[in-house]
Formats: sequence, structure tokens, C-alpha cells
Amino acid sequence: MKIFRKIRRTLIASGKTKSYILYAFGEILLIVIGILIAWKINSINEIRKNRIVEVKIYQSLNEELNTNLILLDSSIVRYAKNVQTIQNTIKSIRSQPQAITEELKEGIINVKFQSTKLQSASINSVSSTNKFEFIKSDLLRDLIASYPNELNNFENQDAKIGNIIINRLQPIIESHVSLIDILLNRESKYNKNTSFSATSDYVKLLNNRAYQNVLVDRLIQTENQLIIGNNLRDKTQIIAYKLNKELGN
Amino acid sequence: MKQIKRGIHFLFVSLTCSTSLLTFHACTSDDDITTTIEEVDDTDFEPTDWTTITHSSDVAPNMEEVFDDNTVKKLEIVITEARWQSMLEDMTETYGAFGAGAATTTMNTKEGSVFVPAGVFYKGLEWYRVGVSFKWDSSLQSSWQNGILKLSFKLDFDLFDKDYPQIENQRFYGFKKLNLSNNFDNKFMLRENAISDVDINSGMVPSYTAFYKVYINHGDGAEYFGLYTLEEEVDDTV
Repeated sequence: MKIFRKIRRTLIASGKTKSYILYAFGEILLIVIGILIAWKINSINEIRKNRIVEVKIYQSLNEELNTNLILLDSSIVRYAKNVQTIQNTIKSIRSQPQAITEELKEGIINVKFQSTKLQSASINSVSSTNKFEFIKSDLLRDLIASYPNELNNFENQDAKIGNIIINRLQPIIESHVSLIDILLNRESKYNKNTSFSATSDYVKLLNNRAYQNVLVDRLIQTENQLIIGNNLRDKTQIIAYKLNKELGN
Repeated sequence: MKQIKRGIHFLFVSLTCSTSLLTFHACTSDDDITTTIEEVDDTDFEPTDWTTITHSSDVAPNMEEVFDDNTVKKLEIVITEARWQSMLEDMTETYGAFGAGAATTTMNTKEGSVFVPAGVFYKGLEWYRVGVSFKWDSSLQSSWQNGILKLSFKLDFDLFDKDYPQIENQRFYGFKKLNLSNNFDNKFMLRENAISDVDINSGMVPSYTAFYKVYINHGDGAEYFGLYTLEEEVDDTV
């Protein structure tokens, strides 16, 4: 700077060495303070930019978790209904004489498998990339790190139930019960008084060992899924709560 | 000598008084401790939905209706904002701030859950000023501290009949007390159902359970709290 140069020249010209050294030291100090201020501003700016990224991560995670909560809630109710239906069918198998009611028939042919597709894009992108470093809360990091595993467990169990229904339960039912029954059950336009379902043998089906075993297996796996689903719901809720806290809501 | 005699006499009197106080305290029921409501300003109402079958104590408990195992039913609890806040404050006092994280020490207390009057809605009918509180169980503290508001509830249908004479001997299809379990441990949910079935099959008096979807309305509209297990509270008050 011109003014500093002028002062420096004047001091050298006057031959005051002590004053010049003092001045030089002051100038160095000024430069150091300037560098420190610039450094601080830069780091504040970095923190601000990181916070923006962090909030964006939290927001996308929050949306994903809320969607998962809705999906899990409906799945948990569906699993509970399935457990009830299977338990009622097992009760009918154990009761003597077996009364084949319309309700029981509906329960037996209720073999529609509905898979639950939970969202995991945001959580995977956070836990597998450097975005993870932006999350400051240790507890949140731990919860997010373990969440993909929980999702996998849920999906694997869902696939296991799907396999039991599609590959084991449906073929046994179809060999004893006319598919017309399923059609009659679904569509009210088909007259229930028709004799299409005459070939169905529900008693034989209920007393078939393979059917009984598959039914028990389905019950156990659905109960397990209910447990996994409930645990996952709780974890999802905890993460969502912590995220909302971080977001300041 | 006289002083020693007076001392012994004083000690005897104090011992008698403490024993009486302790006995009285021990005989006090839990309800007496926890069923305080600060103000009752909603006594003026007509129980228009009241019917003998659904609300009175003149009928036997309707197991088929309440513990139907063919459907997952819906129950809505409506609590005023102020009363909901008093329940939350009571929990905060006992277990610390909501979602504050797990404490190092376990506060293993069964007290602290205050009962408040609330409306219970089922199949379009209202049960009036039902005593509602958070139910103490092993999960209550951890749920609260982890930020999960899906806590277990206790329902007592005529707890506040002194404050609201209209609900004297109010019952829910013949039931006085019911519990809504949050299934936090999850194994409970199925265990409870399994135990019920075992009890029925073995000829024992079973504790019935059923799945219910529970909604809580504490001023901001009905909020879904999750799938609960409704349990009959087995005691001599049914």
C-alpha cells in the first residue's frame, strides 16, 4: 500500500532504526491479524455452507422416513389382520367337527401377497457417501448407520413370506379349492349361488398335513415380520424425532 | 429416672403414630395417589350416546364385541390440550424431558402417571369422561426418553364418576378397566394373544386381547398413534 511505503521510506531516510523496527513489527502484526480475520470468515462461510448441506440431508431423510412410517403403519395393520386370519384358520383345524363357514373360506383363500416397498434412497446415499460426515449428532449417526440393515431385515422377511405364499401355500390351496371361489370372493357380480365351487374340498385341505405346516410357517414368519415391522417403526420414529430436533422444528 | 420414663413414653407414642401412618399409607390404593384432576369445568353435558348394552354395568362383558379376533378395530381418545399437557408434564417430572435420551439410572417407578378425563370414541359412540393415563410398563421410560409417544394407556370408564355423576358405573360393553399396550417389546403383542389362546384351551380364566388402531386427539385433530393391543384388566371390578 502507498501509505505504508511512504512511512517506511520516511523512517529509513530519517535513520531512526528503533522506530523502523517498531513500525515493521506493527506492520507484520497487522498482516497476521488480517490473515486471521480472513481465515475466520472463510471458516464461518464453510460452516454455513455445511449447515445448508446438513439441513438439506435432514430434510430429504425426514421426508423419506415419514413416507416409511405411513407404509409401515399400513403394513403392521395388514400383518396383524393376517395373523388373526391364520390363527382363526388354525383354530378351525383344531376344532371338531370342523365347521366350514363362509368366513373361514374367505380366510383360507385370502392368499394375496402384498409386498411393502420402503424407501431407502436418501438413507443409502447418506450412509454410503461422504454426506455422512455432515451429520454432527453421534446418536443420529449411529441410528442412521444401522437403519439400512433394519430395512434389509424387513425386506428379507417380506420376501420370505412372499415365497411361502406364492410357492408353497397357493399350490396346495389350488389343488383342493376351485379358483372360482377366489373369483366369487373378489367379484360380487358373479352369482354366489352357482355351483362352480362344488369341486372345492375345504375339509380335505384343512386336514392336509402339508397345508397345516405351511400355514403354521406362514403364521410364524408373519409374527416375526410384525415384530420386525414394529421395531423398524419405532426406530424410524426415533430418527424422525431426532431429525426434527436438529432441524429446530 | 422420671426423665428416662418420659423418654420411653415419648418413644412409644411416636412409634404408635408412625405405625398407624405407615399402615394407612400402605392401604391407600394406587388410584387415590394418581387420580387427581385440578379443575373440573366440563360437568355440564348429556350422555346422549349412553345405552344399556354399550355403557351400563347392567350387562355382562361383551367379549365378542370388544375382543373380536376377526378385525383390527379403531379407537379414538379425545383429550383436551390442557389435560394432555398435564399428562406430559407429569411424565417429564418422573422420567425427564421427552426424547432426552436414555438416562444412566433406571427410574423404576410405577407412580407418576396421572389420570385425566377424556372422551373415548368407538363405532361412532362416545364414552364420556373416561379416566385415561399412561400405563406403567417396562417400556414406558425408554419409549419416553427415546422420543416415542406411542406409550401404553390405561382406561378406567367410571373413575371420575364423583366429578361427573352422569357417568356413574359407566362401562365399555361391560368392561370397567381396559389397557392399551403399545407392543414396544413387540413379543408382548403376540405373547399376549398366544397366552389368551392357551388360557382358553386349558380352561383357565383367560385375559383377552385384541388389536386396535389407536388415534389420539389432543387438540390438533386425530393423530394416529399406532397398532395397540387392547387387554382386559383382570380384577374383581368388572
